[in-house]
Amino acid sequence: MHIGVKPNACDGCEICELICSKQDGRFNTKRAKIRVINEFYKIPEVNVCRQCEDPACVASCPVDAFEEISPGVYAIDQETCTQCLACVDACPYGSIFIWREKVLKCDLCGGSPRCTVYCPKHVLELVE
Amino acid sequence: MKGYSFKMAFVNLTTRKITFENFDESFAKMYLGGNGFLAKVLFERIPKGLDPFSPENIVGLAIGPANGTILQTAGRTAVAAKSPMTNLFCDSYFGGNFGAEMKYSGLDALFVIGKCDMPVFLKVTNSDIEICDASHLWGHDILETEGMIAKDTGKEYKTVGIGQGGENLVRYACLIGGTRAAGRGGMGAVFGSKNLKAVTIVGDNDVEVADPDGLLEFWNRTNQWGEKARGLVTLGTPVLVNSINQIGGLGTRNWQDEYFPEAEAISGELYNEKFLSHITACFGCPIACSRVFSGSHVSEGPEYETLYSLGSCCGISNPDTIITADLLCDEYSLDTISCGVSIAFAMEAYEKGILTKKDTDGMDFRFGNEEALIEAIRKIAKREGFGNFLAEGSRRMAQKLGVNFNMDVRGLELAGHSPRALKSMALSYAVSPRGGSHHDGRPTSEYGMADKRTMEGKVALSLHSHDWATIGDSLVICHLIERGFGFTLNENHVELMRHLTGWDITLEELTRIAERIITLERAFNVREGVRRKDDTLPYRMMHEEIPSGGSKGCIARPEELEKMKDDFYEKRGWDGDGVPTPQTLKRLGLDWVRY
Repeated sequence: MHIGVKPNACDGCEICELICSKQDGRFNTKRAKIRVINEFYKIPEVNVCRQCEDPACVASCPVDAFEEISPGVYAIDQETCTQCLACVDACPYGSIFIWREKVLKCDLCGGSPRCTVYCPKHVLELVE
Repeated sequence: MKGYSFKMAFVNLTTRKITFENFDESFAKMYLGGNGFLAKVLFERIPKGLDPFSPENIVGLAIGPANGTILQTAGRTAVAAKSPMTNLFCDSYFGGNFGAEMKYSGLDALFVIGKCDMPVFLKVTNSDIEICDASHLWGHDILETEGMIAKDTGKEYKTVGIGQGGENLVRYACLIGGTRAAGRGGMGAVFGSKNLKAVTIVGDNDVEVADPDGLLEFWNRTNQWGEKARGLVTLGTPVLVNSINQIGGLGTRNWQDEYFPEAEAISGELYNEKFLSHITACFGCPIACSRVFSGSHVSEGPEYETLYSLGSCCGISNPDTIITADLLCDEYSLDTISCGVSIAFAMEAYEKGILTKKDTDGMDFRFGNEEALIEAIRKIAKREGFGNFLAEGSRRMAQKLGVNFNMDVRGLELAGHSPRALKSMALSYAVSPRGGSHHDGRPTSEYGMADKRTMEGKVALSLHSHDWATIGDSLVICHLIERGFGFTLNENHVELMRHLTGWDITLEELTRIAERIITLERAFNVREGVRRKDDTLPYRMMHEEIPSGGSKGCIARPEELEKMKDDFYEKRGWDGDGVPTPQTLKRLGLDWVRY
């Protein structure tokens, strides 16, 4: 399972970041586990974890902080994570992000990712 | 109370002193944010009679309780200063994502006063403000400048600033943030007068709202933009070209007419068919009205207002030329409305023989001359030759030439909404604090009305749309959201206020905030000498009927305008001369105001 991104369809509104970051009544796109890349006059792009079959991030972690929450889907256990950032360097797609001392990776919201529901242009979908 | 950091920053560029001031809940409840904060601070701290280019002028950036949240269009930013176009209070707004970033920085407002002895930009990192050398940026256009700053600071920083137009004090130089413009009133010229090239900002703080689930429910319920804003969703703001032309309100050849026979060539339909690269949205906006068009050049836009000002108003019907002209204005940071309408004024003067090739640096300045349009924009940004004259705007040019076909109110050129075809806009322009702006009183709902020739209900439309616009500008969100939330203040606005802030506000209280801000802006202008006689329209609008098209024969007769003003002043609690009465000031908690 992963979040599929329809090519050349994102308009850059960042609503996926907003809904991803919603926590305890707070919004902060810097805490989002999905990112929109907006550059002048270019079609916006979405950067989100592809849930790789053989994930380099998981292999790189020296403290086994990645927890397989459903088959092939890993989440970072923040208690175990030492913020060494090895996974950030290991991800070939730059899809692991940092907010302050916290490492952020898409975990598909436990199976029902909110971004796919809230994307107004239906760019994002959950691919089984 | 949620929705605020309760913190404002003041940067003095003369002394390089940076101070912070906190405000409390009662202040937030009085002035709401954005527009309201700017009106309050500028009224208190800008002395009467000040030259807008004086170092003592203050330019402020401000946001409100919506910004950075998921409420639709919450990336918007408010800016205000004493305007070098009008010599009065002027606020302007830009989309994009700067406003959200500012919210995450922990600042609700940032005010700049004074003048630096060298070019600088401000670097704001979570409320920490640095005054940085901008010598290497001076002389570059704003899009280059944003790229150069991002190279140094990282792409997370969001920038707003000026190109050569602002540096050279073109009176209608605007601010550009991302690729979006805070167009009106010369905010970019005020930046330039302070040697301030840009403000770049980043923040990583959370924004807390009072009722996140309620806010999401509201978001879901109001998100039917395909039905409510179909034109904007499919074609962007250029959708208005054909429809307004058919109604008969598309300013043409300096408003000598309001029907442009070649409108189809510069219509939204044409642009989307021939030039569309892709669609873009501002932060948090599900409508996504922006279009990147690719012709000889690539530009975000032109928007409707630009298609009117640089297109029909100048008699230009080549869509590719308007893309180029729009891009140049963005790069130089020129307000496309004032720039286009100023050029159109000069084109009329040229065709009437009042200006000759001797004045225009040899340019054949007839309507429709595409090369002259492009060359004029370049000259304006540099204030070179004839461009130095054009850079002063229509009113100052008209005063020099001793003519009366300048199409401005208070010195600010008219937007692309006709005061002859729309009675509410006749009033709205005349009493607008800004002048020729379509963002005080709003034109949108009158377009759909059956009888545009009657005054019936038009004063109420002007009043109530201005109230809503002022709350939108204080939240700070985009006016295009009116198609979903309503064209006047209603329970939707009350509900979103409650979700955002937790304040159990009523519609009456929200309306009173709008009245307070509008009256405070009026008080600023009254202090500068504005009275009833100044609440007027361009001569042509009041004395010449529209000669052709769907609104043929329409006119904003002075006697009609005066009657509407009587009604408007009374409803606002202003006296017969347009001055807010002591009772009104007291009712609105503005009894500290002195003219």
